[in-house]
Amino acid sequence: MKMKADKIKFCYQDTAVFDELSLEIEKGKIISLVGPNGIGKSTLIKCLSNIYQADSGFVYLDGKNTLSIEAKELAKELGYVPQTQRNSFSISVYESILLGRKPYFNWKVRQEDKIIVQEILEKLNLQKLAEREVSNLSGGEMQKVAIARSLAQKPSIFLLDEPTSNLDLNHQLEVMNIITELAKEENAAVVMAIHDLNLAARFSDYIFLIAEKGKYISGKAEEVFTEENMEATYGVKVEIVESSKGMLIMPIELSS
Amino acid sequence: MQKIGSENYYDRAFKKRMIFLLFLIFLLVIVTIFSITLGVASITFGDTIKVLFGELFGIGSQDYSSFSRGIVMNLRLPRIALAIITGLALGSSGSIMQSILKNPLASPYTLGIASGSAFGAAAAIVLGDVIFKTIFTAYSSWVIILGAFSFGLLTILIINLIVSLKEGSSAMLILAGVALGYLFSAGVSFLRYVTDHEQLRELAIWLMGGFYQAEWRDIFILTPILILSLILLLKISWDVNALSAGEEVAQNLGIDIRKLRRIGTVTAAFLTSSVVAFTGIIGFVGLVAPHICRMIIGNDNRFLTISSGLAGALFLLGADTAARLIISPAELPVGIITSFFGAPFFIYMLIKKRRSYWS
Repeated sequence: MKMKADKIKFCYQDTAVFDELSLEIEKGKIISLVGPNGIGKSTLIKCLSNIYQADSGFVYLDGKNTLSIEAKELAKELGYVPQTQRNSFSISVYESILLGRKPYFNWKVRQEDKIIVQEILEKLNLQKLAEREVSNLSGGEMQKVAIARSLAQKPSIFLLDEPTSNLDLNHQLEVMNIITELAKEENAAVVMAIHDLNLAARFSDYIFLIAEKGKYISGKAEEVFTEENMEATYGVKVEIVESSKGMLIMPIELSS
Repeated sequence: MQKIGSENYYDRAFKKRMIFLLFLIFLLVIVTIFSITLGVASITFGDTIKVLFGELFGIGSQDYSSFSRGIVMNLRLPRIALAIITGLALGSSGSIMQSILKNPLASPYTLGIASGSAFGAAAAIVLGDVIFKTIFTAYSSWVIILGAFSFGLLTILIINLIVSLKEGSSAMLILAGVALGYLFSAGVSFLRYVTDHEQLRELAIWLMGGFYQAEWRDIFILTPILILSLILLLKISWDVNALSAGEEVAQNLGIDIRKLRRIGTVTAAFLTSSVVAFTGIIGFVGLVAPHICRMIIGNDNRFLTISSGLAGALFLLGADTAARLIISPAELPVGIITSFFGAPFFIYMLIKKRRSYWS
């Protein structure tokens, strides 16, 4: 499965968030969307997840315009993981993951669905939490449940919005390992919006930097995360250091 | 308890919910039978059963008096049936509205539907006489029903229209409902203020709500409406479940949220205003019955909608039976009982239940 966004434009109340944005995503690869606050990373994730409709331009799945694909079928290809999990009326972890099976059945839960949920619980080591209420979980656990739900959709493309924000170091690493597994073991395509440039540099195959409206820089981490690009985009002087796990981007001071 | 788990978690939860449903049905049957036998005119349990079997199924010895037959078939049974239908309608509508609008305060009343219906009925009572004169006297109850029903439905249509104009959130839907509720309440107060003595009395009685005027006609009209609406609400219940994970996730899961919200709210409003038209304003059930069920079986709407309906029916039938008996031979308005016993019980449940079931 290959996803391609072709010259998409999205406006929020007459102001274009992004324009003429093109992006290609291949299976087995992780792409990180980075850029300053409010530049439209989350909006882009939502446009790709069939939550928002682009004002112009199209998104293609294997060459097929997503507008021509039924919502239910699209839900079997695109798994969206929101930044925060907001349950109005609390449900159990098990039921929350089961919701990911929504595109596959209308009312009656089949044996097959229960088996899939069970496998996911084991895979993400969530068995012990299965009966807990989602609203009583910690941030890291909630994030895992949200990923688990998208896994239940059995999608070929995962779209994650800030999967590591609000997580401690331990959970950041755990979540990034899960995401890497999605790409490498399940051969899925992964697109994530992320603020942490060091995690992005270490775990993604490609970086897509939204520098300013209409200016996008893409490529490998070393090509995108240069001192010049960072200063131009974030207005911050940075120092780039080599570590055993790749590059580290250290903010030094605000550029004058 | 060796393997905690998830393995059979779904099946266990499913079983628990089914048992709860069956338990509610069982209780409802018991309360119904007791309610038929209890009343000012004392009819023995045996006679009641005989009348029921004889009249409904045409079996058994028919050696009961025509007095017993009249009390059971013409007075008590339609009244009980109306209480059950109303409870089912208000409980299930309340439950689906809370889930769709993702707000624990949503109910047919907070959304202004009941106030809309009340205004419709008040307008029919006050203006009907002026406009239709003698024709009104002959068909007054129909005109009141039509007024209540059409204004109840109109309310939810206006709210949906406002929301679709602004592409609003569910919070906006509720706020619009509350505002419209106030508007219609002011309308009712105005009509009360300007109207004369005779109509005022009729209006006051209608606003009080109750089942004492129940007739078989009401049951024949409401039953098909109830069944159709419940089927529709059950059909959308799995989609409504998905809404609990947030609108964006639901959208990603392939659900047309705006369509779902429209179908859900209009069906619930249709159902509510239909029963309110016949019974007048009966508060609290639509809010409380769903919450009690949520505490017991959780928030899966596939079970919650129907359970809330059954709990509502049980609650209303119990309250109405109590209303008939407490100061017998006179009777209390049922709304007094529902609030008087319902509110403290609900607060007790809120305190007792430590687990938060909404966030």
